[in-house]
Amino acid sequence: MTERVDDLYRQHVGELVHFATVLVGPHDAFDVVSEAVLATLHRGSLENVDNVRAYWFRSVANTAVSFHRSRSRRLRREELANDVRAEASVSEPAADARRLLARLSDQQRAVIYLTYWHDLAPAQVAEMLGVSDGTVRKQLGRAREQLREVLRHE
Amino acid sequence: MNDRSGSVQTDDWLDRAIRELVDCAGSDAPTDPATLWFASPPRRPRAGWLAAAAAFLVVVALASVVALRRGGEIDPAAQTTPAVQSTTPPTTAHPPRPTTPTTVKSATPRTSVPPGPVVQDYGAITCGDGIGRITIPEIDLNFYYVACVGTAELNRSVVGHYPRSVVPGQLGNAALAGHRTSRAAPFGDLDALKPGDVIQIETILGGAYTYVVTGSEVVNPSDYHVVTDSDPTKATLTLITYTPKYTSKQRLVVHAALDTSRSGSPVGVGQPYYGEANPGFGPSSDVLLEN
Repeated sequence: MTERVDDLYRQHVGELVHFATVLVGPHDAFDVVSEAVLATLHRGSLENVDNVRAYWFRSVANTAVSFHRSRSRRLRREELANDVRAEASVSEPAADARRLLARLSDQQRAVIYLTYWHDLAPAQVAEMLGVSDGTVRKQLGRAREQLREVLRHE
Repeated sequence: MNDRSGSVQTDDWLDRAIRELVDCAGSDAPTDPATLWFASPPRRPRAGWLAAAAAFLVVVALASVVALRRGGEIDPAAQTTPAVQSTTPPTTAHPPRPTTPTTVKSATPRTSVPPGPVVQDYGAITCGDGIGRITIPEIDLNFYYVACVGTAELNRSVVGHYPRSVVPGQLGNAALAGHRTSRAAPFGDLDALKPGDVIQIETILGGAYTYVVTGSEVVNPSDYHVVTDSDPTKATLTLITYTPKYTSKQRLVVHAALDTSRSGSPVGVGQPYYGEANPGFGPSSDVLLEN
């Protein structure tokens, strides 16, 4: 079982970190992924989980939300933003892209990411995030409208 | 409003723009295998962590004993499966950590390689696993490379290694591929390389190799022989990307040869080999990068 978790983690850590990077940026991506994966392990065995990958994606999305809300994290992010050296590994266009995406809600951002990076249909996105198909379609529609406005003026 | 999603039109400028936006937003995702796999950022201690920490120490102790018994030789298998030896219950399972990461990174470039038929054994790996780093100071290139060159691997904004070529540092031809214009464009400036330019390779096994560019050519996607053509008595390196820029019509190929004065003698068996744990590794595609 332990071996299985290792294998699964190894298999998915790359894409989870990519997802987390889009949500919170490269500095905290690994932090969010570790926290998300550990949370699922503390919650109990993964043996009863059908789709561990989806479970972990969902956990990363949720962890990123609480991460945004956390005050200490926010302060740390602001400190980092003022520290040029710490920003060295952040690409400027990528940070700009994240700033645009930051105008969306957390759920919308996750929906956009899964739809456009992983090319998932709404039903699959719904499964990944553990919400209804209708919610995904609604959020996707809203997110696209919002991005249409934003991108038109870019 | 059409197709699979009911609201996504693939030919819409908006979809293209959003796709680019998402692509860009994730383009600086850490791909450092050490960061992803081994290192963990400092965090607040928690109650549940004591058990995990204790288990981790046991693993480290066991691994050290194993390493010592093998005369200090680095055994990648010991690193990649530390938790197998652990008695940690699943609920406290811990993202695997290195047992000897710094030793691996700082291992002296193969000067103390014992005589005999030495091979580079990467232990059990799968496509997408980071296995080294390529640096080309001349064009400011510094990327990790992973096993395999499928779309799934290269779209992670890294360089990929052809599993049907040898690994860098081995006798024979090692081949690496990368995107030219998208996904962080690791091989964007490959056309600027001239004979004599230096390509540095570090592997996760601790090897450090310096290759020197010998020439370049443009070939068709079907010219797979540039990967597999290999003189088993020489260590060469081939870098492959798309050309012309923004198209996938042809492939730009840069050839380089190992500079033995700076790297020491190449090791290996002169044929594709990731190690005993990976027989018949990799896809069987015969094209140089998928279109």
